[in-house]
Amino acid sequence: MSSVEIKDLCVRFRVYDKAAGVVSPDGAGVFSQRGNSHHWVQALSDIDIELAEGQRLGIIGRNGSGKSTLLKVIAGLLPPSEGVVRIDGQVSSLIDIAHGMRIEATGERNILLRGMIAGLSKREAKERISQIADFAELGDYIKLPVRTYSSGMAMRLNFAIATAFSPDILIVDEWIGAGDLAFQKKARERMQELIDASGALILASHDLELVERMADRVLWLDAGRIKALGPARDVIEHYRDTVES
Amino acid sequence: MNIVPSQLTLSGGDRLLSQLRTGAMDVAQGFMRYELWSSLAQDDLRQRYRRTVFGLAWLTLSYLVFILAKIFIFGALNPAPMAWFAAYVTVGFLVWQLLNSFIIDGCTSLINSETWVKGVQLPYSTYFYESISRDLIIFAYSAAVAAVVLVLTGHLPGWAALSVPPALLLIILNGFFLHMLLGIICLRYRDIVQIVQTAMRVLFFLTPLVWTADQVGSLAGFLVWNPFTYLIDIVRAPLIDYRIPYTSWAVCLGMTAGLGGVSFLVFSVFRNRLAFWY
Repeated sequence: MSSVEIKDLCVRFRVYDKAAGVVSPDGAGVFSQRGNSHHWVQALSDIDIELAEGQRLGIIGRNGSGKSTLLKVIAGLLPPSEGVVRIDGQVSSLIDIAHGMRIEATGERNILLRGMIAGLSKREAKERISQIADFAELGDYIKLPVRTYSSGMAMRLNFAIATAFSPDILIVDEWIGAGDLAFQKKARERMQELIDASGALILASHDLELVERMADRVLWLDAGRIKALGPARDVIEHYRDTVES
Repeated sequence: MNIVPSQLTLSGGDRLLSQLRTGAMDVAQGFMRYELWSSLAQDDLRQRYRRTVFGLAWLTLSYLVFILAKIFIFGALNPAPMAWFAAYVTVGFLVWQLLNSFIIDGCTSLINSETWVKGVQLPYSTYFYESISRDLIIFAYSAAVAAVVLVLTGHLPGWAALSVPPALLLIILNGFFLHMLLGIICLRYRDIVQIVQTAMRVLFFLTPLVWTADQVGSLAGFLVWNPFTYLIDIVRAPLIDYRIPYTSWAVCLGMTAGLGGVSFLVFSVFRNRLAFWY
């Protein structure tokens, strides 16, 4: 069983920098002020979403509109300021896959640590090492510290670890591709497998064709509010028209 | 990549009682990830000493050099027998080093875990446990040296030494509370890190470590206000004077209870806002 239920969600960031502004870009979270000293950015307001088993939700919107913030709240990385987020099922997020890589540790050690972070026991994580290392195609480099890797190799390792476990609810911020041309093809296939295996998908992207292909419903965020929520094709068409006009 | 527990309800504006409950859950669930935090702690240390020839042996070596210097310099000024004073400095500094690392690392454990907090959904206490176990590994290396010094100076453990393990447990418990409290305060107000570091350097000289209370005359009266006096006493007195300092124990238990209450409250109430303070 996997479902996500979000009710009246608001997220506010306190701005601690002294010179907080009042002007934010069109479509981004808006500044607000309480008293003389408290500055806030209202990142998300009044978000209501329900996602049931097997549904695929796409999130679109301009830069700063709150897409990543919403994903982070669902992934449990940011607390809601108001409202309730109810999650049923194992959530796995590919939001910033580079987080949690230790460049001084070997590739193998990183797989072990990240496996344990993902909730595996040490023994279970150990058992996955060879499989993940094979996918990353790093050969004996897997026994060297990550700092000796080329950036493409590090990305491949990251991708291999991040996509090694199939969760109930998959959260993806921008499509992740990694490595050279040959690996990119493999990465695409892996992402597709992961999506097919997951109970529900939430994908934020600027690639409208991708969103239309992957999602059956689309949420359009603007300035932290729901501008539209409905069948993928309709919402994306509406979004295109607005941007182009 | 990270996987969140399968049933989760997050909500804003929680009441105190449910905040305390999630705080307690965080502490318990963090502890359950012992395989993770002990591995992370080992990695931290390996990283610190990478490509050195002696590696972790530096922990032993630097502690040894430090206490030897202190024994010779301050021993010359102290009327007590050299063997006793050597043991006094060795054990005192061992405990001080542990407390000092709990406090300094407590200040920075959350600040330094920024990329983790932002990237993976782990109980925040995981970072405290990681930091504490790292400090304990360092402590173990120094403790081996201290044990040798105790034997060489003729301080074989007596019955009173049985109170040392519980005393260390109490100190570790304090270390955890200090991590909760300082970790959160320092994350929000970064100046506190500097204030604490400066204070600890001064406190080193205000704590009976390289001098004894009978050396400082009337100043000794101020020692009752220094919490470190008691925390060090409960470990040092049984080992070098073969007595259990009941007064110090009572003070330590009281302080731990007070610190524990305040720390847990601060941690629970502000836990939800941590992510915004980076």
